[in-house]
Amino acid sequence: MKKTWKVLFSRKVTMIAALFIVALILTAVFADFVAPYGYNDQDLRQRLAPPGAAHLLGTDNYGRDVLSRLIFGSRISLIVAFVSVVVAGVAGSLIGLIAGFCGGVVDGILMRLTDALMTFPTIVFALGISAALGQSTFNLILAIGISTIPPYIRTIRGEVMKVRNQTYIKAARVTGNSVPRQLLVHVLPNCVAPVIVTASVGLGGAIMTEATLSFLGLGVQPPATSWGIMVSEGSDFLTTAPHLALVPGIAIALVVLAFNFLGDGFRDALDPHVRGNL
Amino acid sequence: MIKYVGKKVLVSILILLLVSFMAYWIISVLPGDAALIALGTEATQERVEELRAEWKLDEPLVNRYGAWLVNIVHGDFGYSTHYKAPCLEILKERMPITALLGAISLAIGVVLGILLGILAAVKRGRAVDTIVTFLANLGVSLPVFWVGILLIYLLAVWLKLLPVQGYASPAEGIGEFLRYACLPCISMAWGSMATVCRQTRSAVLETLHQHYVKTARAKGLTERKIMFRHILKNSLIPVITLLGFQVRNLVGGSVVVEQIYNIPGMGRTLIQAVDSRDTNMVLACLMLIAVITILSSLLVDIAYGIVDPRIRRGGSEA
Repeated sequence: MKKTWKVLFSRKVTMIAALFIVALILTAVFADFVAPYGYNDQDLRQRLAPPGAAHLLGTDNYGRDVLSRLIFGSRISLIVAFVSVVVAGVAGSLIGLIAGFCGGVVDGILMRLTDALMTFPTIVFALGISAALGQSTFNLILAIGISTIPPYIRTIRGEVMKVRNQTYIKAARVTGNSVPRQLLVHVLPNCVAPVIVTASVGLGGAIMTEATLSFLGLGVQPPATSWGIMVSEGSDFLTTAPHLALVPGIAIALVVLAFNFLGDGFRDALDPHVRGNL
Repeated sequence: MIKYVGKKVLVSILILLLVSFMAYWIISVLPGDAALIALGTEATQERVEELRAEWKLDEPLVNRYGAWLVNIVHGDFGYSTHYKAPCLEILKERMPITALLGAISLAIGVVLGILLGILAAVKRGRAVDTIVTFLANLGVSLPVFWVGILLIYLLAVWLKLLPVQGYASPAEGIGEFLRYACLPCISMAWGSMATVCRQTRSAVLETLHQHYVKTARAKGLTERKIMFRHILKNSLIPVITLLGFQVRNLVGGSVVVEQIYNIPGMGRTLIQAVDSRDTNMVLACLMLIAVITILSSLLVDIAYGIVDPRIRRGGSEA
């Protein structure tokens, strides 16, 4: 594992991506201290101001500081992303573990359910959830979390099937370990590595989905702010103040890019073929 | 092969049934009493009871689901409360628009993606590769809605080359159609192109090191022959799998793009139906989407079985 970390950060891109994500998390946590203004502070004499000294990224139609809103908005985007990835990761890993370990009918049923879950694109799934339960941040997390379970199931299941017949698992069985203990102590630790890759890419995807749904008015509800809401509000002012829609979009792209690079880095670091070539 | 296809078709039908039940349960049962919601809080008790009886809400879930399913199989998706017309009639008008734009985007995305992916892999490590890889990474990181807005800003607001939003059907003239369809299609195709490009590049790179490629080279085949006969043929197989995902993503993308560009397609219909709590219409759209995605992944599975004999012999799962 130590070697994995070393390989992971020997690449400049991965290193920069990781630092960027850490910095982002820190600014989100300490938003109250970092942000120059409050996210709802209105300066009505400074409406739609272009980027400048007083407001680094300009102001919106209510004279609210775009940079501050970006920083506060990152909180919701990150929370939604992390919670939904944890939900999907834990649920998906457990289901995948059971499917892969049991095999047979259980596997068949679980995999058909997985296929059923994969039928709808995340956005459509979230539309369905919000049609049934209404629009809120919690439902948003629920929708993103549930609809992104399948990749974890597939990843873990594949790994478990590889590991299942290894000698050390047989040894664990023969020495009288209970099935849950075999699964959690012996099988799972040998299968989680690829999940890191899925989760890292999933975080980027979740941020993108959150933004999309909030943009459509199905996610976070104003006056709370997220990056999707900022693009949505800004898109009304494309002719007069294009920075309002463009800046949060660039922020989304950078974060997603960083998570993707981190995921790529993990994948390569965990892949012995590639590791040899680095 | 027939056995393989037959099995896949059966499984697809099973999944469709599963999905339809889930959708029906979530959309029409979970929100609570449909009659009460439809009539509002001011309604009298008798009127609510009346409507409840009319809509058969007092029957058990399985009976209601069964009745709904039978209607759907007969082509009756119910009456849309928002559009004041049968759902099927509305969707008949709107579905072709989404399908047309989606098909164009898919074609652009897949063809360009494969070409760029091969180009990047062949020129590995050179400037072309760096540029293509960068664009592809950017492509998978940019949200569809933002690409849409950026394109509106650049080409419609700033350069004033294209209309900001709206739709013209091909019947109104191909030129006019293209003027309106151009930006939505680019917004949708961009993401598919990036995904397909990344996948193709890594698949080709992986194949480059296979023993049979070394053998081919040792036999003295020309590089061109090795590329087309041995490398491309084998490396495009995993790309096929991606097509099913791409169709699914495009359906998701069409919802967003139709909303941004004000296109009267199925995606926009779904959003409006959700906004106005038009249960029948939401369900109709969901079922249509389910059929599209399940059908496309069935086709991908079959294509996969044709291209790679190991799959159809190797049992149910790859």
